[in-house]
Amino acid sequence: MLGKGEKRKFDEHEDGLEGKILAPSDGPSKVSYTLQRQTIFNISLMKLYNHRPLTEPSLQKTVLINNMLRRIQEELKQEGSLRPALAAAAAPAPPPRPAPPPPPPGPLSDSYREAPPPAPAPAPPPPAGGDLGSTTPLDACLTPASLLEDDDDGTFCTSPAAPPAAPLRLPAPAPPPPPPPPPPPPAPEKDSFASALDEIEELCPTPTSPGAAAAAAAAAAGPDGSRGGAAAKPDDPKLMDPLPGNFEITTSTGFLTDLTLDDILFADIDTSMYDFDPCTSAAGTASKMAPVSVSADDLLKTLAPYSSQPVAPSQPFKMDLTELDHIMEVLVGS
Amino acid sequence: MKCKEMGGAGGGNDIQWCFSQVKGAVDDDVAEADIISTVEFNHSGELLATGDKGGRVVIFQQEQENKIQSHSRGEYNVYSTFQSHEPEFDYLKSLEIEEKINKIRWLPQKNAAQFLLSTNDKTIKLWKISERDKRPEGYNLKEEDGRYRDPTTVTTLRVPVFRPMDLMVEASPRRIFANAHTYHINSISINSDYETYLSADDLRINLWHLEITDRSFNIVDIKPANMEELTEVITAAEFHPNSCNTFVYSSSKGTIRLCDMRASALCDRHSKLFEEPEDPSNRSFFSEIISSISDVKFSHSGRYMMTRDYLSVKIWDLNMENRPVETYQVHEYLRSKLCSLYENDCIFDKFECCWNGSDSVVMTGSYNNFFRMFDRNTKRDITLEASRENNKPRTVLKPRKVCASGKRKKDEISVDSLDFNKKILHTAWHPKENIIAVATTNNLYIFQDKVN
Repeated sequence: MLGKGEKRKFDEHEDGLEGKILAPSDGPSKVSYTLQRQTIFNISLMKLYNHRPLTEPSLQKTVLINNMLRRIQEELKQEGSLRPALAAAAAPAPPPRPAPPPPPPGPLSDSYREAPPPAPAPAPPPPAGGDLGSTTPLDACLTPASLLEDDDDGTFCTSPAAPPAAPLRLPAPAPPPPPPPPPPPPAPEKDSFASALDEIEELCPTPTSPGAAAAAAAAAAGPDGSRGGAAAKPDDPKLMDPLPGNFEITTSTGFLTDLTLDDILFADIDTSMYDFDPCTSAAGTASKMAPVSVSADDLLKTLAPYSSQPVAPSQPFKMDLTELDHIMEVLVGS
Repeated sequence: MKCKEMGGAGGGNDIQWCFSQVKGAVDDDVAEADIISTVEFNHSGELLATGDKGGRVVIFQQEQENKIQSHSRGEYNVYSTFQSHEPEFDYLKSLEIEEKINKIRWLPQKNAAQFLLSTNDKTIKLWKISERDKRPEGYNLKEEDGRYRDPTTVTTLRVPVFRPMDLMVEASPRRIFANAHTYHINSISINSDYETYLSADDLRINLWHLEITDRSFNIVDIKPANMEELTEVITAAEFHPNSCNTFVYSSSKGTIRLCDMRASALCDRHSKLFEEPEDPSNRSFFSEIISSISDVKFSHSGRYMMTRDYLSVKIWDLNMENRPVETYQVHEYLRSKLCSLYENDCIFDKFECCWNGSDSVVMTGSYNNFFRMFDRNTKRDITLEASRENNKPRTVLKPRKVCASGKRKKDEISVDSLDFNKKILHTAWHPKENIIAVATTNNLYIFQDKVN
């Protein structure tokens, strides 16, 4: 499953996704830890966006899945890796951190070859799950990432409108942004992304479920979400109360402010993706997305080609666009 | 008869559990409406109520047999069936409100009638179940079949008298407590004052008076001002069995808060917080999810409470907050399967748990129609299966064993052959006797201990 070279021996340690709890510091299982984490991330996203209930989704389940996504995202952040595609895709977001964690020391190539000092030491503790392998060393993403070390930012510029596909593209955390870490310029990114989402919003009919409605409203603007949050009173349940979906509105836009992307990334987005129904629904209008049951195995299979092929830095992006199409087809089921 | 290898659980003597009855459809094709969603004995144990996904309540009554002569305790037969809740549509949110009965709680009996509270996601109803075994006969203006008589034909008058009739059990809704919950109700609990009760949803707990339907008091509210910051929900709540001012509620993060209503009107600040620190060696992506508490139950004595999370049952002493006094592993072999269970949503299954009448044994369900009992005194546990294969009355149930890994012994089941669609979420224990009710997806099994 993992393919070539030294990674082949990882298969022995892999029991599908199961097997022992993977400690990030285990040598050979680091990649499988990352793989597992990624798959869990994907599954979590699927659960949030594929749900098309006639009844209100369980708030407990939504909260737990959101916490899972947040935790993984925090972990990724602490690794100093930037996964902008994942970041853009993940609706839930922690409350804005005081400062992004500094990048790991040393030039990129070095940091992937040696065991770097634990990245999270200077970072603020994550909200709920920092205890989850918070000292994941960067060489957890060793082999594939080192191949991507010379990637330009365009590599990670997958359509934010296709979150399930985007994470599938990246088998490992992206290298950290070139030093110094650019503080996120929220305004321009939000504009470009929000305006792109506005486009999507126009393309989609008004969804009927509140989860979808709320998620669709995510495209509109962040303030709408907070307005939704302030709406309800306990003694007047007839008001449109912030639902789990509303919860996602604010978190998704809140998340965007955390992104340490610059405009280059967004500029490279192929906007033809936005015409894709599945893309737009993946971005937030849950009602548009056809329910897809993708098993963990399927996700792994799609992951596998990316983790196993040593690709030249410039190639992944081109290759991934076509693969992205393919993945979206699979997800849509058409 | 002691059977050490059977590992019987229950009190000082080893109990042998026998099949007694099974209720429900025989075929494997499960109608969604028939899925049992709650099971509850009343305070005497004479009545056993079940609620299902179709909004119906079915009450069984135990026959009062002559115990000296019978081999077993009385059988439970259908006593009353009624439609408690109907599906509704929330027009504002464009969502259906399920009629599924989430919980049933009995009131203690005060007169000839029985009362119970049943709730779906949004509305709680107080039902009166009464018997009618007499009816008036001999009206002057009506014939026996109900047709009206022409008054001009009446020549004599008589007084109607009550005559015996076939027993009829009527259920009528006496109170409807609605429009108080924005989120889904997960618990109701009747106070020991028998006048008030609480209802809990994901974010709030309300206090009601049984007589008053247009007003309820909010006593816990954990909704954050900014829903974006929501990371924890209420999963269960219960009043203390003896202290009418005390209740507990559990959360999705594995904490239990004990609140005293005398302290303040809004019990957002707990009096006690029960939380066990996480075991670092068991840390995983799913640590939080499996720590989410699905059920909390006080012991009958009120000294302990039991919580159920995904993999274990914990007994807490109310006087000790930092860790449980006892922990029992229900199905530890699932720990290595958590990712798959997350993917197929089984990890979100909400198992309930219950105490026996003397608080010496606790019981909870598992997968493959297995259920587990833990004897707190002998520290022995047993796994039994609710299956129609053992459905001859007084057949002693054979203990089951799941083989986690390695060579599977005869009669053991390997983890991979477990059927995760066959889950026992709801179990109940008779308050006085060793009779248990175990609900599979759409069948209700009644087991009792072997009486010699």
